[in-house]
Amino acid sequence: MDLSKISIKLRPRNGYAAIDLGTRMAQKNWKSMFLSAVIFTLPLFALLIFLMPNHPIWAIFVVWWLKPLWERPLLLILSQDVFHQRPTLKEIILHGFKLLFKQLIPSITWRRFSPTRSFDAPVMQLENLSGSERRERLTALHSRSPSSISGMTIMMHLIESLMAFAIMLFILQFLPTDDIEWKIFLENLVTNSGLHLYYLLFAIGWYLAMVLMAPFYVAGGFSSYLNQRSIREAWDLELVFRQLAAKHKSRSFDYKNIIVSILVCSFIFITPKTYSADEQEIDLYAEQKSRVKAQIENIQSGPDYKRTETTTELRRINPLEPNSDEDESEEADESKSSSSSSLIGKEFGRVLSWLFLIALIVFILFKIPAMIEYFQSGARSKNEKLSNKKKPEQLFGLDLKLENLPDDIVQESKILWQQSQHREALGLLYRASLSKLIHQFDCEFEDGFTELECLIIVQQNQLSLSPYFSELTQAWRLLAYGHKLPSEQTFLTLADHWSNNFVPETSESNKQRGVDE
Amino acid sequence: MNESNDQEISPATEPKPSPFQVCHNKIQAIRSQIKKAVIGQDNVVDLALVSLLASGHLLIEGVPGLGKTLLVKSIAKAISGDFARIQFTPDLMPSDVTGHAFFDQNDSSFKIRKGPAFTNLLLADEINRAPAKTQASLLEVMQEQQITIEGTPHIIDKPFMVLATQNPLEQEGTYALPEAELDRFLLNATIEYPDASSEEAIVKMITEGHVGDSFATEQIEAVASTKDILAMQKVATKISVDDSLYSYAVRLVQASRQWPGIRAGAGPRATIALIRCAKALVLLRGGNFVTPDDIKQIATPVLRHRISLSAELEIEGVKVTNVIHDILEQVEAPRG
Repeated sequence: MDLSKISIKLRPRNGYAAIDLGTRMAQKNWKSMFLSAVIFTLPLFALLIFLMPNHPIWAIFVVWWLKPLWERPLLLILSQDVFHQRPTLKEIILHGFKLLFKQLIPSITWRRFSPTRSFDAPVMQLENLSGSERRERLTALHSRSPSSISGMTIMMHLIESLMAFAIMLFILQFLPTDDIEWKIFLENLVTNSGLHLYYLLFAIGWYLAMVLMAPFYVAGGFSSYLNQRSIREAWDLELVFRQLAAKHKSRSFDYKNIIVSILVCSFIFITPKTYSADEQEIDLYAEQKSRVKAQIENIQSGPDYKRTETTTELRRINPLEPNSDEDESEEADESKSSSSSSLIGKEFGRVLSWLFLIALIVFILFKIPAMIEYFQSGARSKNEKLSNKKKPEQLFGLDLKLENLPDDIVQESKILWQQSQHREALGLLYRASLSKLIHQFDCEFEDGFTELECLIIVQQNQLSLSPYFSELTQAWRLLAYGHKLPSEQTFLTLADHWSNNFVPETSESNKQRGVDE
Repeated sequence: MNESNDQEISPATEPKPSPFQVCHNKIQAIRSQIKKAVIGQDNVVDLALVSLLASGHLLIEGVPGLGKTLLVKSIAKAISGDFARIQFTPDLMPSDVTGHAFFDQNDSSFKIRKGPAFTNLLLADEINRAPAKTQASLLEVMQEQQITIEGTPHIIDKPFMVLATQNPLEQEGTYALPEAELDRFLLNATIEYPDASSEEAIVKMITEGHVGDSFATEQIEAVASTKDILAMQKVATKISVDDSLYSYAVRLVQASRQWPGIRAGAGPRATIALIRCAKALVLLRGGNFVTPDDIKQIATPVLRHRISLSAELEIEGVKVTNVIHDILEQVEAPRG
């Protein structure tokens, strides 16, 4: 590797500018980095899904936990690209597998939740430092590290989570399932009432989000690391010197020039001086010098040398510090504020990461009993949940709330019939039937359904009350649209049989019977 | 056509058959005669009869060779009516449709030569191939049932029905029907390819004992007269419609005007057409009152040609029928 041939422009930047550089680096190498991430994770993810088909969340959790390991090949690609090297896929796989086992245990245990993980990775992976050396090195690098690194970690967490949900919902749009409503979906997800399809989709979404975002996270950390080295160790200058040295070294020794130089020098020393000519030359020289100086000043006052750059950053100002010493202590202040703000950011990030982990573990532990119960009880709970999803209170312009129905529907309808309110009497029976069918028999009716379409739904659900409902529907249609009054006997029969079919005590047995049939 | 709602409800039994029952029997006789010739196109046959009973005009969309001419010929023969066919071409003149006045040198007077529109059943084949002026020549006869030649209106014989066809595939060199003219058609039917068994029956029927590939309508008997049709049209108007169904029809049509993705919804003619067609459909089925199911069933052919989708939906490939289906699902159905 030729360190003098660097592909990026190194100079001291602020933290977010360094991350921007990392983003550009990730964009440049995105294809190979993404491919590498997929190669190292997909077999594991697929294997875990295969082994635990009912627990896709566990599978993705394992892949997520092992992130520090499979991010290493990505850093390898970036570190080589910085010096114009493009490793082949084979090299990436070979080196990647060697890198996986480097400081394995610390990486996936106590260092796993470091908010500066991507920033610290090059120290271990590229500088090959471990133990106290690594610690000292990181202390040195962190001493003026900006809070942007922790901020980036938090942001990446958020983006990854959002992206996981977004991908999952995107996939859901293409599934030919029944309409998935947000409320139902979130309810199912949170209450864990089954539907491991959602969990599987969530796992796939999370996996894709991870492999899509990992190149940017690794590159952001790596560019911050390079930036920190430029600030602390003037690594950018070192590389410039290396380039200069390499340039001079590459030149062959020019004997001709040396000989010509010696000859010219000796000619100058041997030639006798003419003083009158010398005075004239001195005046000429002074004149030239002043002209050149003026030209230089003119050029330096031009726009090329007057570039101003405005940067905005947050700094803690110590109000007790006297203003007069501002200039002298500016550098010290900057150092202090920078290190303190980075320390705060880092601690904040660390606390957030741990809180996230704890919340995740608590959530999973809390959900385990429900998951076990679900997987033991099959899809029953799922069906129960789904059955509750559509309980319209008003359909076809009718109030179908159970609580708004009279206590004794049959008696009430008979009273109405006796009062010659025939339409209202039969209408009450029909409305009450619809209400019961919706709330107790889980029939799903749409606003646009006609009476016959409702009847078809009831028949499709194979409810034992469908013959009765068919008779009631016919009588109702004749009265409502044909204006033909059913005979009193027909009405009384319908009213008397209503209770047998719709009262709560018998409804469950009816339903069960219908299902059995 | 689906006959899901005619089996449960039958008109009240009376010692003497009601006019509805008489009409139903006659229509069924016509229907069975037509179906002797037109096989596997029950839906289009029913829509043509609905259109005839509702005294409207039918726009049929379908590729050539599916029996459109045969359908019109069969209806004409079954009702003992006249039949005329005009092949619309780009050079067809309005006078070729309606007729014109000419100077008869024998008696030195102007005489009227009546065009093919003077008939009971007019088949306007590939109507969109003629320019707008010729298409518009049908407007008067379709709406007013009269033809004006040289300033003199001529009343045409009733019943009168135009069955116009459009080829949905070939759009090159065609003139799309203006919305005003489309609105004059009561119904829009699509004629599809027959299924395998129907096609087999058609082939067998045409190839056994016939010369050529066209079906002869000799075996169709005239089971009704044009007077019967006029009487049935009157009976159809007497079919009972509950007030809630008028509201339902209005709600449906108004929904088409406010529905997202619809550029231009249906006009009041569509509401009128919904009720007229629902009544005719009920008569065809032997009922005597309209139900929401009848309106829902007839809504697609009534609304299909009266709705224009927005460019976004057209680009997405959404069909008008899908949108109508959504409207029917979401607009509140009446409950008496």
